[in-house]
Amino acid sequence: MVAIDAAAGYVPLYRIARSEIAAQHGGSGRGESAVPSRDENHITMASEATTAALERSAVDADDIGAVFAASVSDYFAEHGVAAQLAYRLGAPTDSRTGDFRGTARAAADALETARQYVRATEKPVVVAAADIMPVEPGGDDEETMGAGAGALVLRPRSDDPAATIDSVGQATTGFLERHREHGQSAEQGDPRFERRHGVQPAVTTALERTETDADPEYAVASAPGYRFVQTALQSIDAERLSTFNDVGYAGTATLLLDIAHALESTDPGDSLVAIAYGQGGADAFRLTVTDATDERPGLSVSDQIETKEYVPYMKHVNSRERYEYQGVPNT
Amino acid sequence: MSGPRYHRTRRQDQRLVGFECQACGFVSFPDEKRICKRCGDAPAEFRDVDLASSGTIKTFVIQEYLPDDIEVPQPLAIIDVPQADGSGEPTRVYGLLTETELDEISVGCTVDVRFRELFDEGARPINSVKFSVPREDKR
Repeated sequence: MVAIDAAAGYVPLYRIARSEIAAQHGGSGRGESAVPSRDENHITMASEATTAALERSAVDADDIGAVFAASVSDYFAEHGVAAQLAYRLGAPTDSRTGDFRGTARAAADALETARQYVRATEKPVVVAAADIMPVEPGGDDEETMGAGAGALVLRPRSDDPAATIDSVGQATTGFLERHREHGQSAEQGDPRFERRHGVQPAVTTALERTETDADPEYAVASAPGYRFVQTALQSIDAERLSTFNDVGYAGTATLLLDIAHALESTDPGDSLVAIAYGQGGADAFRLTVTDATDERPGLSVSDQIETKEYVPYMKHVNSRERYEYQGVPNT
Repeated sequence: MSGPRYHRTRRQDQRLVGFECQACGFVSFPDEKRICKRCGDAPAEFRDVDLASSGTIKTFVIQEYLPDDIEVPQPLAIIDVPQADGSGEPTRVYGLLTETELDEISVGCTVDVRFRELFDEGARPINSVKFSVPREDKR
């Protein structure tokens, strides 16, 4: 059984009240979404989460066997996130790195690959996800697109883990509807059709394959839309823990951020299911919370949600685009 | 060509590293010099020392007039940062502040080290060290 030795999340300081967006373009206006600072990017946000997770872990950087990173909004087609995180953490140069992209399910792919890597090598693995979701002014999903990062440290066994991963189920159905080009906001397609023929069957099958019938006490779910999440969790009788109304949908980061948030919010012995739905299918991870300590280094996800500053509408739009420092000396 | 820029400074772009003179204890930052500028030891023997994740503002200025692509007002501070293990002398670091309002800083206040995008090299961001008031102070 693989243990989650430590977990941490990162939520940017800035927020846009969804009512600000509704005032511009209409909409529900409930809740708020995280907005990155102009000097934040995928590497800096993922570094915040991975550094905090490793500080909370008993794992030494010298012992890291692999670093896996997920993102669906990294600006670069080629550059990589995982290798930069590995170097910053001080992981050995013979550690394996892997970047997972191209589907909202990428963080689940990274997490499951990390779990299998730990089982195969008995070495600790750091898995991270970071996203800054692009928006189009007036777009359907503008209100709920957020930003953030999450990270977990996995190891084969741990004296004082945050949780254990008891079982995993996956359903690779190949269903595709919602899609997005680089730097663009998403083409939603027909969300009702996707909920019925994409989300519901994939999540149901993934849950069945965890081979546990009992309902967990808590559930988190990552999917590119609030109603997708509702559909994903409709068959589970559990208390839902979510950062959606405070952070928004933070792409692949939502899965790891919500797991970190859940592990900080629950008690030892509690059971948790974490679901990820994205292009191609769904995954379900059943966890048991095992860590009793409240004294973790760094700010909790809840603390970061509470410490915030609101920004005006234009900063929310501009901060999600890659910035060019024209005219600034660059040496 | 940004590869040399990335490679040359990548270690110190990750975290603060100072260079402690083994003759007098002065900590040089950001460069390891051939001559200690305090005791004059030459050639000086320096030891790498990790610096702490927070420091104290000694003085600061507010930059109001900068190129259009830099957010203003932009605080720029001289900050005393102790060594990470608490030994030896602190060193003096010159750093940009981020996510910090003007009424949040004063001489003597504590600021945290942050890993942020400093500028870019072509299309690639150069991530390095900035400072901010502690996030928990934002409550």
